[in-house]
Amino acid sequence: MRPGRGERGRFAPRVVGIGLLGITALAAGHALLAALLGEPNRGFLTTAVLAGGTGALLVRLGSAQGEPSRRETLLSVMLLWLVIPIAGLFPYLLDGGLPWADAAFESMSGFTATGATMLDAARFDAFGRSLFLWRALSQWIGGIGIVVLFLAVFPQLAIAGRQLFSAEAPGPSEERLTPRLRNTAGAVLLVYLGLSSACLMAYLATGMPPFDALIHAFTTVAAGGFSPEARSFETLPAATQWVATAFMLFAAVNFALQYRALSGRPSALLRDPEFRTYISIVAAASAVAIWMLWPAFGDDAPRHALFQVVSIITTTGYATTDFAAWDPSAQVALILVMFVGGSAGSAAGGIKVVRLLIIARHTAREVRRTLHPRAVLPVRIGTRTVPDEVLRAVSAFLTLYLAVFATLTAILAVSGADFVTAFTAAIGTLGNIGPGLGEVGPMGSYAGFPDAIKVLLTFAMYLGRLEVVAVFVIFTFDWWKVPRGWRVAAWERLRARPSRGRPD
Amino acid sequence: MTVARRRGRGRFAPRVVGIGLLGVATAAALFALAALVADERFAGFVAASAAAGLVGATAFAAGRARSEPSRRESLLAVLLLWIAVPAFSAIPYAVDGSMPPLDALFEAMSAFTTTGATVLVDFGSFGRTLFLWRALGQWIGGIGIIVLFIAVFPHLAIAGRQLFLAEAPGPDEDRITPRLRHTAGAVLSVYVGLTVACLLGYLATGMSAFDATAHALTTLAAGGFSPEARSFEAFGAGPQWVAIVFMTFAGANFALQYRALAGRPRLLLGDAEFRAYLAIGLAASAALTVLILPDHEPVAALRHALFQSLSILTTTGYASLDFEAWGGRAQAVLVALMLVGGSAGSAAGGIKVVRLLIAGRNTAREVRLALHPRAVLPVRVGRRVVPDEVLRAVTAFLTLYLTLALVTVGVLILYGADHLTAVTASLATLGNVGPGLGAVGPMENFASLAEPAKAALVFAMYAGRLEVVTVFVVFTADWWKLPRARRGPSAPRRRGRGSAA
Repeated sequence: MRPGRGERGRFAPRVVGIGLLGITALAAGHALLAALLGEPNRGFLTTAVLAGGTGALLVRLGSAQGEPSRRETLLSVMLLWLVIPIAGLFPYLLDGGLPWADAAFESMSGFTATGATMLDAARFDAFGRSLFLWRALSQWIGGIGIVVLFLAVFPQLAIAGRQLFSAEAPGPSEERLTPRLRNTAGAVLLVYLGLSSACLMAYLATGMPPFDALIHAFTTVAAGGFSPEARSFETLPAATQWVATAFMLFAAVNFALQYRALSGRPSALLRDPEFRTYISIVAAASAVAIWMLWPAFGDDAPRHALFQVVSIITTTGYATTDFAAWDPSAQVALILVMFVGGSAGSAAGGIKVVRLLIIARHTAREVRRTLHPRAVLPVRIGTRTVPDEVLRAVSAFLTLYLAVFATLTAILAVSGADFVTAFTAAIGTLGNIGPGLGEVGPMGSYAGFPDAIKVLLTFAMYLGRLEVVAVFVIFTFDWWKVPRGWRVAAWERLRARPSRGRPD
Repeated sequence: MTVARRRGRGRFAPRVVGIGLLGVATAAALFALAALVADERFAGFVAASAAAGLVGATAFAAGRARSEPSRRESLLAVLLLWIAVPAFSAIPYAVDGSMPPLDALFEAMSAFTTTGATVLVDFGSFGRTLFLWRALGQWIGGIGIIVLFIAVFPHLAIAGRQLFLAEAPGPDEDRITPRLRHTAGAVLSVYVGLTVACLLGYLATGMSAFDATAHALTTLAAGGFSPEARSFEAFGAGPQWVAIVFMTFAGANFALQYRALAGRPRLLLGDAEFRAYLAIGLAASAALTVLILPDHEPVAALRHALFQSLSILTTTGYASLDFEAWGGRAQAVLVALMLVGGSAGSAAGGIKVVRLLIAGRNTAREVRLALHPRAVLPVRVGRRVVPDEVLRAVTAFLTLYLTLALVTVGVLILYGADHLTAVTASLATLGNVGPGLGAVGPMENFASLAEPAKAALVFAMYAGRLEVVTVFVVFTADWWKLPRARRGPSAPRRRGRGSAA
């Protein structure tokens, strides 16, 4: 540990700095594009300058040497998802004319791949193409960022049961994707890029203009849901809607498994319990929705039902019709899948299918234990036995998630929102879905809330994206007990040197 | 294990149900007499008495008491008891109250589970005897569930109940009494004592003898049935204050209250659950007072706020005014309280304060473990360390409870209820609260719901009262694997194997 000591506390600045430099490059590109298109670019330039300056400073301050501690890894993840959305809000603020709270919300909604928007019909008209591209790209980057984060970083941190999902493969290490972090990330990135380009081609083939196809491809594969159209997919042809349904479906499937399936082992995907459950839930919910939509839509019911169920369960948030105006009986299926979310290892948000699977098996076991209290009944997912600490972590995650959801709903209701708007806005943001029902329906926007509530919902998106538990760590005492190495490095080095002989 | 003892197997449940039904038959016979004297309809009571008597006597004869019933038998007895008693006590509502069968069952289930949700539209169609029958159903159901959970379920260790058994912070000597009978007796004496005190309180504040009796019976049971269509709005401030006080007692652990009365008040006042329960009640009342202050006099606002938060928190379900007319903000507080419920060891329903405490502490620990994964951090409630199996049981209970709530909401919406009605009706029945909001508000009733929705809510009341997990045992494969001894012919072969069970 000794040699690395001086480097302590410098991992997070490094990571955030690199992230900011990336945003700088992106913003500079957009500034150029906006200039070419004759659109305002003050915001992009502001972002580029601010992010560039801060990023360069942080990269110099930080250091990527040695193994970061859990605290440092957590801190960098938390800061990254906070600093980048802040850096990315200036284009909305200066070029799009949104107020502060709205711009922050829109930016967070982008980088968390939520898709909840502050844009009402009038604001849609005021936005230029460069802004729409920025919005879509933020989702695409946020999407791959979260997948890499969860596949490569969080499994080691063992948060909210993530340690289980890291090695979904049914065997020992040789079955794992790749032993090294970098390779895992590379494989996943490959799938992500492949899906994005395939989606782009398919949109183009169904007659979408290139710009729209690009933007929609970005936000489809990220399970994001931003669309440059105020009416989302409503005005687009049926074929395009079917393409979106197919790619949304894949966007919420574990990318690591997709990589394995594509590299010649489709059984890895087809036998995966999470994938099977995911498909069954989609099928069941769609069946109920089709049944309930038939009176209103007739032959179009299957298309709308399937599209909407997939859009909500994958936490994308596109809409082919205004489902907020559906009959409540048809909305049941959508409300239920809002609490499901996609698969672990994808860009989708929500509780995640595998967690629900674990919790269901766990509950079933407890019910059986009522009859046979001393029976030894392992909880299995596929062929793997779920360890007790994962069960505990998953139950705690679920409790915390639902508690946050209930608290958000209560605050929204007390602030004056009606009941349906309150609870769907809460789950829509916490679950990174985007639209809800009532005022925040797919054709509405979140612009009607007071500023304080907008800030709260921005935080909800952040919480949901980082899987709640990771963020609540900062509310524990332990977090604030700063370890020794974190004190000012130079002073620490001076102080520590004489006592080197002392045993630890 | 002797042959004689083994032959008693599978006959415990009929015995228990038989005793329960004979009780129903006796009560119904008395009510028939009372109705005759009061010149009200009594055919239903006679029918209930005859039917319950007949089936009860048969079951009693077929059954056999056992000192140590197996888990399966205890569970079966409880599950059947809470179906059989409501089924037979529904007859008077159907015959004398002219209700359709499903409505009568709903009313009877709502009574025996101390829910307080009603399908009664025209309160004038019920005679005094019927109202008293309803109230008594809640009172019996209330003490039944307390005795059940204090004396029977702790042995069964269901949904974390094993922790609540010995709420006292020490080993055996601190338990109320070591024997089941004594525990039940102690709790019963507190229950009866509080009921009498409540009755006197109502009489002293000017209620008529009939109203005071009917309300005292449903207050202590945390039930909430009232012979008045407008519930406590029909009475003045005096009775409402009395109700506030006794609802507070009704939602606290009766075993601890016994200990407090027996000279050790510290056990109650120092109890983590009791403190949390009071804190939640007071915080909610304070919030409500502020929220409804614009519409009421300050003292009246405080009274209504206290009354309504305790009524919902203790899952009683009385209303001192139509809280349907309150704004969405005040209602949000009430909906949140519906999810909490009273204390373990009381007749209150809901999730229960102690379970939320445990789940909260457990979650906080997991958050800390995210930073220090190898730290050993025990979960404590009060001074006691919560064992791992209790933690597991509590989280599984919560999951099952919330899942059932969600499914019930889905069923209600599918059958035409609006969102608010569906959510609150589901929480109010599963939590044994009573009224919800929307179409099932405190001055409304559940009669307008579709038949399948009513059936779903009857099941929700039943499942909620028996703490969900208990009911779902029936859906496991193990439940249906009958133990060998019940098959008869194979019994002698097991002779040499000792106490294999």
